[in-house]
Amino acid sequence: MEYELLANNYVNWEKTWPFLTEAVQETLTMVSETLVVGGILGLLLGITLWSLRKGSILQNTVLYQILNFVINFIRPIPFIIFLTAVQPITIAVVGTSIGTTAATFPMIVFCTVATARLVEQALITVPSGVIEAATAMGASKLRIIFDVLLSETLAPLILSYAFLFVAVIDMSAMAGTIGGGGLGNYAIVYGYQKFNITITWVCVGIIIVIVQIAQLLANFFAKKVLSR
Amino acid sequence: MSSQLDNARSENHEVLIRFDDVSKVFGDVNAVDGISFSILQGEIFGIIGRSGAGKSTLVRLINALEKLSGGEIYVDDVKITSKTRSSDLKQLRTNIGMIFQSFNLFGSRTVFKNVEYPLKLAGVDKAQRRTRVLELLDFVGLAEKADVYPSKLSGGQKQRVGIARALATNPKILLADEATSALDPETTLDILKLLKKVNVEFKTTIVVITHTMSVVKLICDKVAVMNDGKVVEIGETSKVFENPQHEVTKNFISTLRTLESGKL
Ligand SMILES: Nc1ncnc2c1ncn2[C@@H]1O[C@H](COP(=O)(O)OP(=O)(O)OP(=O)(O)O)[C@@H](O)[C@H]1O
Ligand SMILES: [Mg+2]
Repeated sequence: MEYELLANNYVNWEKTWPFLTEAVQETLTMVSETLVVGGILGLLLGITLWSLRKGSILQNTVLYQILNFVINFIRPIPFIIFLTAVQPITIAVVGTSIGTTAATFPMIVFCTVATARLVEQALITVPSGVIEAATAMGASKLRIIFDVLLSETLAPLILSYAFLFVAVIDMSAMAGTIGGGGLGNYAIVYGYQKFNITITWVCVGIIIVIVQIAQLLANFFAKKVLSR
Repeated sequence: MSSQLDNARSENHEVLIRFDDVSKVFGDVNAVDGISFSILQGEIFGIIGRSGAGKSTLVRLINALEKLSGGEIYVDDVKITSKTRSSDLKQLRTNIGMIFQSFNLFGSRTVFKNVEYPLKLAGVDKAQRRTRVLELLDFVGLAEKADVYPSKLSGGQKQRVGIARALATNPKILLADEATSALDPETTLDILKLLKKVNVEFKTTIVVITHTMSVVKLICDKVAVMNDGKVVEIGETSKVFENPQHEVTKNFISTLRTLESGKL
């Protein structure tokens, strides 16, 4: 009874709509910024990790172990805890600990680390013999990275980025809870905290649509690349 | 340094690859242990030995896929020492093709693009690349497979692509590390014939690593037998067969005889 009194499934769409579109925009901004910056940094870090591995082109076990440790240290931290734990650093870097910009910083860090690992895992599937064949032809290290490594793993890399996209949306929702804005924040504040299940599910629906579009695009391109 | 090189060449004009007290250590393993011998221009040179004898390591020193621990190797007019940096070796590597047991083709590239890649690295322009690739695919009998991806090819076809790719820049030397070990007997013969054809038509010097004496017998002019990082026997194939000296050689030959006789 009490729940029914509190629960308010009525939505004034005219009032809600501007907030909702703003939330969607915030989410897309956070997610795309994170994916672009974290995705590129992660790609570079992933390539670096691959290069430093034993028997690889820049073999350096000590450096590899250090990077490996840092990544293994950060990765298992639940993102919502990571967010709060790095707040002092966030303030130092972006000057504030609330809002979408502040939320983007820890997202980028987390995304970089996750990307690096995914990229490394994709790259190690390239048989060392194929790298060796290119080396024997006189290919430079840079050539090997671009012409062999990345082009041989393009399809799994595309799928990894699709996976990351979903993970980053997930992160953005959590970032929302500490005032990061976006759909996560909106769903919590206007859906959960105001007992408006409709709003919550509208947010869920929008996220599902965004994720589906991304996944379909990724599958399409990966398939195109893989048609061999 | 260069006078030494001139000496090396004036001694014998036909020497193409010369190992001079070459060694390679991995930790405490002497994979190659003070080897000296020469390979002449135009030869098909076999290297046989048991697993772990150091064959691959020796051959990988020729194109500097492995760094020398000691000694020197003269390849054509290039001298390789333990101080040679692999970044200085582009020219040398363009002059040496290599084929592998596992083919090592680029799975993301078509047959055409696999063969084209070394030409791209060598800076050949597009029109010339196309002509050369088609010529090579024709040579190895795969003209109609130009636009196919390697995963759609049989082992023998893959190795043909490997050969075409290795020959793209018209190298003087072709290194074949167990190039037929993954193939069935019939396909092995096809590939060996093709290697012979490469040797005859392009005068390519071929270094063939193998586990089986029949490969040596079929195509090698000379053979070196390796054991424990050392060359224990070397000579013309027919002479080595007639009069094997080392126990390892004798074993390889008697294995071959047993196989040929069909009786255990
Ligand atoms: N990268 C490496 N690191 C450490 N040891 C190595 C390495 N490469 C080769 N070795 C060692 O050097 C020795 C010679 O190896 P190599 O691969 O040259 O033998 P092989 O004659 O080619 O054998 P196979 O017939 O099995 O191919 C072996 O003991 C091997 O374990
Ligand atoms: Mg070997």
